[in-house]
Amino acid sequence: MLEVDVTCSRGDFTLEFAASVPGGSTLGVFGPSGSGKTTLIEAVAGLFTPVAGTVAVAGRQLFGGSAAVPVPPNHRRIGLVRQRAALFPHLTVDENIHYAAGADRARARHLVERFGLERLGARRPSSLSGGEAQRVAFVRVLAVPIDLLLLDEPLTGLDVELRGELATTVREVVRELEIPCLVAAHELTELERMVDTLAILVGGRLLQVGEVSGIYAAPQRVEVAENLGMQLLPARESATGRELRLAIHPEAIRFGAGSGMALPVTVEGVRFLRGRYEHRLGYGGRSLVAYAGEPLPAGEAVARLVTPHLFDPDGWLAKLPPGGWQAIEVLP
Amino acid sequence: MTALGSRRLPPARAASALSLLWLAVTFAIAVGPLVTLVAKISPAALVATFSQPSAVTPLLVSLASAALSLLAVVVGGTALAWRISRRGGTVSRVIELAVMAMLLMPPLVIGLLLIFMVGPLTPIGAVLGRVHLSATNTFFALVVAEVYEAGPYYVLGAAAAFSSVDRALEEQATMLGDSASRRFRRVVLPLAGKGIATSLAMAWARAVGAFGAVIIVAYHPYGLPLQIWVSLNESGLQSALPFALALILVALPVPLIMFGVSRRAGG
Repeated sequence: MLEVDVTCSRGDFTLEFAASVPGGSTLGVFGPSGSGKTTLIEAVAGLFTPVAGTVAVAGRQLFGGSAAVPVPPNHRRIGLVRQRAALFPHLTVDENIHYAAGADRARARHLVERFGLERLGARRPSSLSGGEAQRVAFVRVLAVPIDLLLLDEPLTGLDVELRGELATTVREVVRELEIPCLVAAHELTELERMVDTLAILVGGRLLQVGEVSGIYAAPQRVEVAENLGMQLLPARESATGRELRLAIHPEAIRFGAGSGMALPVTVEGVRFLRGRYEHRLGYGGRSLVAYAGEPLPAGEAVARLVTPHLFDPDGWLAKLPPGGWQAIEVLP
Repeated sequence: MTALGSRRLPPARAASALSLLWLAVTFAIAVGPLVTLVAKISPAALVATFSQPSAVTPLLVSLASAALSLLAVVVGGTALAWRISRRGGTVSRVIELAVMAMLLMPPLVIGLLLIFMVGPLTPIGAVLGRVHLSATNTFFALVVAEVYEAGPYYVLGAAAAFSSVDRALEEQATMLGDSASRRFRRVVLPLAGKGIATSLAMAWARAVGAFGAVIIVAYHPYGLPLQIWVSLNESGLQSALPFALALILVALPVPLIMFGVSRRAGG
């Protein structure tokens, strides 16, 4: 179990973060660059000293609380994998894996198999591909009996197929070893396959924590919606004239008959992308992106917004007024 | 394709011939003095010189003093080099500047200043006198002068070597449970080894060949450089040559070994 509640300060930037991650589960920290993800990872690892707060792993106080002095990083029993594998270039793959004084041989052998590194033992890091190097980095860190796994953009820069495979393996191993895992990334595709819960961090503030599907279903803040890739349109409650913002994910726009909020649009452009058609839609002066299995002819069309969200002027998720979607006017 | 290739070949060949010639000329200029030395020295003179017991002493003095000064430089200088490479801030920059100043100072000036610093009439000289040490015209003075001449080469070279080690590797070693000393032994030293070996070799050559500071603070006992100077003044060019050859031979092995070590480490 990881329990973290810290305030960190770097120049003008302040990070406030609190979460707990039970053993065997993975918490993804998602946010744009500069949102404080790396600071958080370093604060938990002991590489950065928070201004205040507590960090406890497996019941051991590592920072604040009953820990009079912060436990130094090399005594924290925490594994860290970053975007760069940082393999020791003067050692072979095998020597890298068994580098740590606390590395467990049996555990390492098992992990080498799980990550498919059997044939690479004698190779030098300089001869490995990016994906191979990152797998070695994972095994090296997990071969030590650690209490927590920290990952900072661990799959960034790897090709999409390998990402999916590696994400699945890491998730399985974390469950098997029953250790908590904290993974930070600025791309959702990197996190979706790996995490049980997601924390949205923007500008050093924790905006929302929950299951990925739950966050999609009800983003509490407009920044969360934006970071999930939703498109924003200005709107108004017809009866009261209250200004609102409407958010809709490109994947949640459909065409033809069905439920949802109807929006008359102009099809401005179509291109084939990853097995389906990406449509550029115009609505007054705004433009939207939507996907469909078949290309629509250019010109007038009716788009159905299946699961739109409304946000009040302060940026909080707003309830749909009693009149339903008919009571909302999307401003062109 | 091939027609185009063969038409392009001659100018390329001419260019490579020209660059080869350039290399040969540069190399000839570089090794010229060494060739001259070997050509001018007669085996008979060499045997005659080193069959006298008094001629072997400068060789031994040079070897012993250079070894001691190198030991002092490594023991003291490694920590300085580490500090320069690993910690920012004013203190590190001041240390770096000071070492750089030592490197740039002409050895003769260092010798002069050493007299004013540790000579018999100075406070430091007085303290040394109490323990029956003198930092002028003694073996100890020779070692001190060599430390000043060789030290900066090692410190700046080692600092550059330490700086070249990727900090991410050190961070990873720490997270894998390494103490500072294990991390230093198992990651930093192997990776900085090549640069450290090179700077050690340079420092050795500087220490063995130290002359400017030595002639002022440690005229006695003679090491090889001073012996060359004295022979030259007393009995002419020819009598100095055997000592010159000895000096080169003494200065070479350490750099050569280090070169071999670094080649292996690099490969």
